[in-house]
Amino acid sequence: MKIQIDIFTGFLSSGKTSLINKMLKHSAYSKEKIVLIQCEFGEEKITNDIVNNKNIYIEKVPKDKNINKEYIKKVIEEYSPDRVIIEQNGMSNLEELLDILSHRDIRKHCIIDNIINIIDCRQFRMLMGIIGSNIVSQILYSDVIVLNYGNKVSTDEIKSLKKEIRNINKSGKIITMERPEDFLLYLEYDYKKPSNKNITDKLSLVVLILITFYLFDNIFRVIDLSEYISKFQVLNTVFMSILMEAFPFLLLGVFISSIIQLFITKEVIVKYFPQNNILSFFIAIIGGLFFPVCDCAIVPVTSSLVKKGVPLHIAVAFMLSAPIVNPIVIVSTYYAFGPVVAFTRVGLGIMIAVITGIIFLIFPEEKEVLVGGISNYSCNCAYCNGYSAKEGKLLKISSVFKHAGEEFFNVGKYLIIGAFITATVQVFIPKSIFTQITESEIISVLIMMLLAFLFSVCSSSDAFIARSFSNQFPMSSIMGFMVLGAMADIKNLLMLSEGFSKRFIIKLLFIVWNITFSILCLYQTII
Amino acid sequence: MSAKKIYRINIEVLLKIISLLGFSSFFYYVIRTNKVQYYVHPRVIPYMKFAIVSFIIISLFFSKELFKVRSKNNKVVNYVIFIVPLIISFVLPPKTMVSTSVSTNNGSKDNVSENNFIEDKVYLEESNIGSLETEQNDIIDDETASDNVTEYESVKEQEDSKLTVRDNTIIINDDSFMAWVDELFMNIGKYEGHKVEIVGSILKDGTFKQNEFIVARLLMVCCAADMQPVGFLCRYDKASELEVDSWAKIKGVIKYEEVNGEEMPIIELENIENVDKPENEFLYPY
Repeated sequence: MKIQIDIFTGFLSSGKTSLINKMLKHSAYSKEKIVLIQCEFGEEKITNDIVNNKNIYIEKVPKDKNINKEYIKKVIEEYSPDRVIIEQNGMSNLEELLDILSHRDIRKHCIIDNIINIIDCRQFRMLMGIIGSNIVSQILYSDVIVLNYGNKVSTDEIKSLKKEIRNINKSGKIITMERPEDFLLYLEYDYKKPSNKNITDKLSLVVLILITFYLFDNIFRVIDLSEYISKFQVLNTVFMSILMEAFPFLLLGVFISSIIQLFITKEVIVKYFPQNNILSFFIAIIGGLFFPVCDCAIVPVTSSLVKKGVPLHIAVAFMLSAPIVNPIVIVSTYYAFGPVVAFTRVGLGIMIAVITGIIFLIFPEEKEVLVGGISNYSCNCAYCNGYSAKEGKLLKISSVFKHAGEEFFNVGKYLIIGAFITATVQVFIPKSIFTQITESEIISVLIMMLLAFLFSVCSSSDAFIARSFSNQFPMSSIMGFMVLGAMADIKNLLMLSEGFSKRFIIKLLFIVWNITFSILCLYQTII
Repeated sequence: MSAKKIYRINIEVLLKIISLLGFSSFFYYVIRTNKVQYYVHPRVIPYMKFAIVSFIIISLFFSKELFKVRSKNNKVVNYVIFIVPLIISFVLPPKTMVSTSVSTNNGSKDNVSENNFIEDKVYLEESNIGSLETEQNDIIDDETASDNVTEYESVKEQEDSKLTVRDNTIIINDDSFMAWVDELFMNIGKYEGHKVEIVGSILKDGTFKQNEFIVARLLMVCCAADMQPVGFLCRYDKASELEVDSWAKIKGVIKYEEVNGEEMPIIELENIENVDKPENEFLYPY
């Protein structure tokens, strides 16, 4: 049996020692030989009956020393315990400790059982502002997050804390408690739980995948007969083709976004970003020219800009205009329609972007637009937290890639769902349905806008698609397709929901849709 | 407390690497086997290569973490979203929208899809005419029309060079296909009686007359979602014996006739021979 390691993290006086006291007295551990490594000494002391217990040894790490590989090895050799409990200093980095513990020499003998993070509800927000990144990584890796002193704050506060923590840690257990005794209830519950539950969980997943595979294989065998399967095959082809077009741009987007995350600090943005609104709108629009990325790439870039403190209205203007003013899009529009249309598209796009930005400036969002509130201002992923302290160039480059990868999975998930919805729409709703209802120009503008929204064509190639409609629809509706499609479609909205609140997304969609429609009606009367 | 995560390998990182390498190998596989043409326009291929390289680099950086014992408490379901489509795409070969609409109509099972196909048929012919901005232009208001015409002229100049007529025979190949479709549909009557040689796949369904079929090529504007068939109506006594979706080289004479209330070129067949599917099945107008 390997040596079990439990790690307790949390800021000073959050209640770590009390919990350890309770835990050590629990019957579940009475038979084990335990070493407690304390790195922090608060007001609460380990109680005497524990100190006198023959099976429990206490090691104290002096303040100026850190735990390292040799130290852990020494402890293991000296005591050869069943369990090691590490009470970590709230200020030190959990990731470093985990790195030490995952070293080969230690991994041979030990296994991490539980990581428990204890949070004092009253202090959480204050601490988040000061040592946020440290807390984020503690929460991120924990199996159990204990919200201590739950009775000292309001229930609403607890709710919002839970939400924020859940945003960082998707699967850990969050428990609220009022007194250290409550932890016993949890231990009780946890101890009774069959210990191999997690393994069966994963086994069942494997079985599930195998069954799915088997089913598909079977379905595949009867494919010649089934019309539905061939429909599905088409659906899958269309779905994959969307991913093939979108993934390269999404990758570009997450690379740019992680470079912003890691190399541009909030201070730089605050210092160099112009306070003048007109100038900053101008920058937002010109900025698009230097981001040769399509609409799917712009979403992660925008949310990282907002996280770094760029004002929301500017970020919105940037997000809406960039997919239209970017060089690839201009060239493809020019190629499909000629200079006048390309120029008009850019002009209308900028107009809509700026007006939407101004609306957000006049009616600012009162609530937090980023999901996860404060914790989101620093990036949640561990890559830019722990390592940013060490100023190694190589490490930075490696974090850019890891961060990009992490973000690719976060946003890509929504892209895949969006692509699937869009592919379904494209396969099952024939385009001819839309082309048949072209009674008045106003209605056809709306239809083309709806089409753009549903079909989510990448803005770098939508000009060519629009071209194939050009003989059935008047120019104003073609414009609607090209302008709205680049700004707001299913794919983008889903991707936005990764970082932004639903309220904000709905408001944005509503405003963009209305402004686009009004401007196009105006455009219609002019031409 | 319960013992858990006794794995030597970090499952989450493993799933990430599988997804990344899965996508890059899928992209590589479709490019290598040229199946990519069923999915996207060739202009996307360089971007896909960029994606392949990026995926590999990212997974290399992730691989360092493979042996970190602790995972970051993300849900495994997230990666299922990535991996399931991959497995399906590896198993299911790509299929275009058009070939299903034909094959499902083969036995004329339901009327709905048949009607769809006729609509498609008419639509495709209309759109061809439309894409030329021919006489239909007068419907569209003046200003846009003039834009389009000037733009079209420049395109036409380039395409004119492709239109070769040898010994009164029009030879239509991949490069000149679209130009000839434009030319023949636009100048009603001009090529009456000319001989024509064309390679294409055979399209028809229950709604066609016994002696009719369409020799068509599939047009891809951007990706699999917008595939459209384009071609000519043919007359052939033994049309009913032809196999749908097979490829054929057709020789015949062009005639102009009114079909569904519209004057259009049709080919009276003189000779038909089966040929292999060409390497590039699709045509790319842009």
